[in-house]
Amino acid sequence: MTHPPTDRRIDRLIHLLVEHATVVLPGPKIAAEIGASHSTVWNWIEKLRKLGVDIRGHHASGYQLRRLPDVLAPSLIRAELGDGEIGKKIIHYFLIDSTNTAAMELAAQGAPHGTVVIAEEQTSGRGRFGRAWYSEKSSGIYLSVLLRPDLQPSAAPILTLMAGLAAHHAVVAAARLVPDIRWPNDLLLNGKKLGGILTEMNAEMDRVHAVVLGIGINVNHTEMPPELRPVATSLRIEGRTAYSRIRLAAALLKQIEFFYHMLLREGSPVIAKRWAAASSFASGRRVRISSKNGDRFAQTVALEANGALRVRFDSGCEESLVSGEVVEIKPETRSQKPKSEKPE
Amino acid sequence: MPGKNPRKGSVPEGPNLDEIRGILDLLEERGIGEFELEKNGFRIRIKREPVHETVHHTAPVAQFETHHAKLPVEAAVSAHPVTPSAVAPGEPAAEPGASLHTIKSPIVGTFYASSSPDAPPFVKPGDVVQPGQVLCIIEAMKLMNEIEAEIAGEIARVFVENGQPVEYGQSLFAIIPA
Repeated sequence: MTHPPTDRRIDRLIHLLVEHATVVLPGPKIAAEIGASHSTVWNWIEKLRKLGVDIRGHHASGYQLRRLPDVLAPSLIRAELGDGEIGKKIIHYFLIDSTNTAAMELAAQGAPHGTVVIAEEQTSGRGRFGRAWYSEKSSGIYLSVLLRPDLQPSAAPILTLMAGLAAHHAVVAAARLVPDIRWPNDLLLNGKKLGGILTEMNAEMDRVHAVVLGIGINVNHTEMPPELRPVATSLRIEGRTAYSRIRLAAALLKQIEFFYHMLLREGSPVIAKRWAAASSFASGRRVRISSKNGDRFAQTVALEANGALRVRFDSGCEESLVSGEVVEIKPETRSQKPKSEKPE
Repeated sequence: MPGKNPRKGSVPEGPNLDEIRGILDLLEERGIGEFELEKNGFRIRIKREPVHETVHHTAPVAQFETHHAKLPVEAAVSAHPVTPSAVAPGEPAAEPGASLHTIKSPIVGTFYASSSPDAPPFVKPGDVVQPGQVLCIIEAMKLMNEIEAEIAGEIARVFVENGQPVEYGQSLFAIIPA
């Protein structure tokens, strides 16, 4: 790994400032509390300021928070979590290549179930087929959750739909917006991509060692880069307000905990049922299915208990998809709007 | 746990024609005279008359013996054969060149030979691999399952093509144990 995880004392510094938000904390006191030198504290305060954390004062006068920070500090996320296993250990990075890569390495080193890697910024956030995930600094949620499920590898793919379902409910809970879920687990708002999930598994023939759910959600991006604008969006763009990433990250971890236990307790059919209730893709949706052999057009029929998507091709034959890319066909692409039309 | 035993109801799968062809090519390429493989209750034994420097297009003299061992599928892995020289899957080869190690798919999905469409394949025939080295990715519902080499050896065959759907238990690679 090229970038080190965040010094835990920075987490304690943030926690200290949040806990004493009504008073001015003398610099030397902070230094003594977290066990760092005066100049280190000053450096870290400057670093947090660059991330947009609003801190008043200087080392001579002392420091005080003006507003609650939206840095994904482990202590602030954990404060919102219950006693669950997911997020018991959170490793924070200001900058990382990919949270998934780090989580897979931690998995190989024996890190426990529920370990979370979270970053303010990713330099090579990954999607499927080697695609990049645009990970703007401190605007989104980029986290990976390590699971060690007692499942046969062949039963593991439902975890990806479970992750999509959890992310859907987290957005509903924390932002009061209702995203659609595109099979198997993309989050869409107004037809544009809001979140994506890439899951990696390390398994033997009959035993899963580790599954890492890598989740990216666009939160406070005020605008997307031009090339992504037609296809991607953020909560802020759609909701016209800023959202607490801490609250959303915590909601996400809580929802994963909830649905993971539901899956272990009741099996995949209940996850499939809940997924189908939250997604417009479960049935009656016209889609294009891209694969190695080109594009085919179909109508979605049902979501099967194992997470496979049942579709009816235009030829009339039905198939249960376990992989491949499923994309909705938007009415706009068939009849183009006249260009002269003014926006509302 | 959810999910049925995927092995249930599957048909014992012996080496298919392609695999046999691959083995034959390999034996010819390396000048190996005798070869025996046991898989899912099938045993195949090939004996060639050594053909060396001659350039010709006639097939090498090959002798086939394929038995169906009539073992229940569930027991096929542990059940044991007939000949004392037979090697159980996963065990180190008792005789030099006696056995190819087969890597199979643990899930139904799509086979990817590389990490992205533009990247070179993880491995190709002739590559020497170490245990834990990633050989391919099987994708199902956006779950990327990195398939690793279980043993050290040389990749003898890649049985599937990039982007091809694979079944549970389908052979992906043959490795000549080091």
